[in-house]
Amino acid sequence: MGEIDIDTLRKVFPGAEGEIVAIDDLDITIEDGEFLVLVGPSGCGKSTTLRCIAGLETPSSGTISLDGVDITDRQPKNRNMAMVFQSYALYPHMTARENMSFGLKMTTDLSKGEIDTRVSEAAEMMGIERLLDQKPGEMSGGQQQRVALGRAIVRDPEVFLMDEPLSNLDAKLRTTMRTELQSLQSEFGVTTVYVTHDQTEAMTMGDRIAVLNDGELQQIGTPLECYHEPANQFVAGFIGSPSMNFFETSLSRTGAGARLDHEVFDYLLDQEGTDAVADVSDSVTLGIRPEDIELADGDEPNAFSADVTVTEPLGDVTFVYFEIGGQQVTASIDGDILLSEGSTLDIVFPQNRIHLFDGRTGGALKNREMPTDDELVDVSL
Amino acid sequence: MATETTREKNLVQRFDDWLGQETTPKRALATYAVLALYFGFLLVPVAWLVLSTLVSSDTLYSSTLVPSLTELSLANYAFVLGLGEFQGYFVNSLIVAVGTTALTLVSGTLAGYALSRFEFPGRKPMLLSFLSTQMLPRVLILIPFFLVMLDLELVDSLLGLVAAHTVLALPFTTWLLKGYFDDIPRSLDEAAKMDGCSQVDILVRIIAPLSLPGFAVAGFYSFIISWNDFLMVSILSQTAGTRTLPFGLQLFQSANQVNWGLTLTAAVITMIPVIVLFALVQKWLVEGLASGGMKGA
Repeated sequence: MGEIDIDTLRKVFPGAEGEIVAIDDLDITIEDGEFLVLVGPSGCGKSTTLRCIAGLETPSSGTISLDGVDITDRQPKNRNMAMVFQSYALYPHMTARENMSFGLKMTTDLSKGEIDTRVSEAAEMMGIERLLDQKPGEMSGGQQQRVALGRAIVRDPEVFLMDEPLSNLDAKLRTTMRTELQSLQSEFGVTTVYVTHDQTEAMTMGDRIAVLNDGELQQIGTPLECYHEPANQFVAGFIGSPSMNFFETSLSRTGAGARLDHEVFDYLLDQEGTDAVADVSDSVTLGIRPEDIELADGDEPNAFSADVTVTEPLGDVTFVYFEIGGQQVTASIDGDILLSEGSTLDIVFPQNRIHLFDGRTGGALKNREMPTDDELVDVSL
Repeated sequence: MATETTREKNLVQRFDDWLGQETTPKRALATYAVLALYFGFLLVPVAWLVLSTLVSSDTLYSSTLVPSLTELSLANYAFVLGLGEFQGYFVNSLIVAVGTTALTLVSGTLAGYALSRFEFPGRKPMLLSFLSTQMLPRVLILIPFFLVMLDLELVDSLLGLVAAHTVLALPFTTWLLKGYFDDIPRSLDEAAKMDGCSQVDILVRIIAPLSLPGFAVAGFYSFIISWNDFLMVSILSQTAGTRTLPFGLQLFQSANQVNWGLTLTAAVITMIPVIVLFALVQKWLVEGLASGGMKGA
């Protein structure tokens, strides 16, 4: 078992210019065996949340429960959780074997033989048998990472806590370790809380992701939910790479429906869009993901012309940067289409792909339609 | 152009350039000559001191600078080491220095760790006060210190000397060890907490093994402070039972004369434990001094 319930968690740090609120009334329930990713920009409170769960920070208020038992005031050693640190935090004076067995020696009554067996099994699983008698200083970053993971696995804890464990690895190794971590987690079925600022990790690894900003939970859901149905403009901008494009527009109502007026284009909303903005008085932010921008023939409704400033051909797709009303807009188009910088293109934002946000609060008014099952199958193929 | 560049450089820069050039036999010879001169300046007095202990008083007072081999003898050593009082002083010195080193290391480690890892009211003033005690001449605190020790009934006891020497050594060792602990990443403490360690476990099992060079420096410093101290011993020690070696050097002096042969022999014997200790911990000392830099609060 390993269900974690975080209830109105708040953490305040004293600062030179008053208090700094690191976590503000956070409520999250993490199911047993779930892989939850805490994601957000630097200083959003994700690591502090993880440290509160670990017991390394004392919450200012609120409670943390494990399987229904309040563990808020428990020492880290009494929580049966294992943590993998960003810096690996291997003990430099101990060999890999000693590093891995240290936690078992301190927290269990297992005999030396039993501890050795468990360390050997974990080492075999992580492919680090040959490293067991080496000290961390004699290992590469990737090897240290594996030992750090082995140290967590060998404890057989109820919860794995991981604080940006892949951020010190090179890009290739990071991709490999990402896959390995996912397989390990699904193999063990241990509840895992994973902190990262890398949205690729967040999207690919988590069963659910919790997006935080300024200590507040912005949204919690599956990666695809957060991607396709962001709760607000922050989530929409944070999840997805390249980021979603936003246009601040003023709302006007016509006989044909609501219209969004931008300094470069006007966008007439369909009935669904008009209904979505019914309660908004004036300003609306229109959002469109780069991959949802389409090239137009010129006669589609809402199409307009834009100048290409830069193109970045990546092979399968090309990132095209436009200058629209003094702001840079990114589009991701088919890599087979050849475009030259300086040319002018007609583009259109399809009605079923746009997102609308309240210009004042940033809350989502309308999200793009979720992909159909057929589309999802196409993606997986 | 090259001449102009050379002319623009000052003496230090030109010397730096000279050091950076490839080694030739001529340059090596010049380097060794300078080094020999330097170490000769340092070591000749010590060599002469040792030599003086191996000759008789007559030879010592004669005009012969270098005695012949036939004149060398260990008679001075036999006499000094055979002297019961001197043996007692030696044992006292050893007890006090080892006691001071142990007490300073334990107290300095606990204090340094607390100052390095915990935030508490008065932390910074405490650090500064440790430092400020080092700014006062020791003579200045002698009388109040003596009165305190008198109140505590620690005058004329080895424990009193250990306490006094610990007071002298503790501020520096605390600063030194704090600086050393500061260099150890806190994530190791946190990893140890997750692995089930209490605060004491972390200190003993993680921090201490990583701080051996720091302990070597702190221990060596404490030992020397205690071993070489004369001032505190001269006021706190009232009888022969609590006197230490630096005080023992007076044994061979009277109101009218000084027996230099025996005094120098006692001085050499006093030096030996420090030299042996230095040789034992030299590797750690260099490492500790290099990495355990003093850091701000």
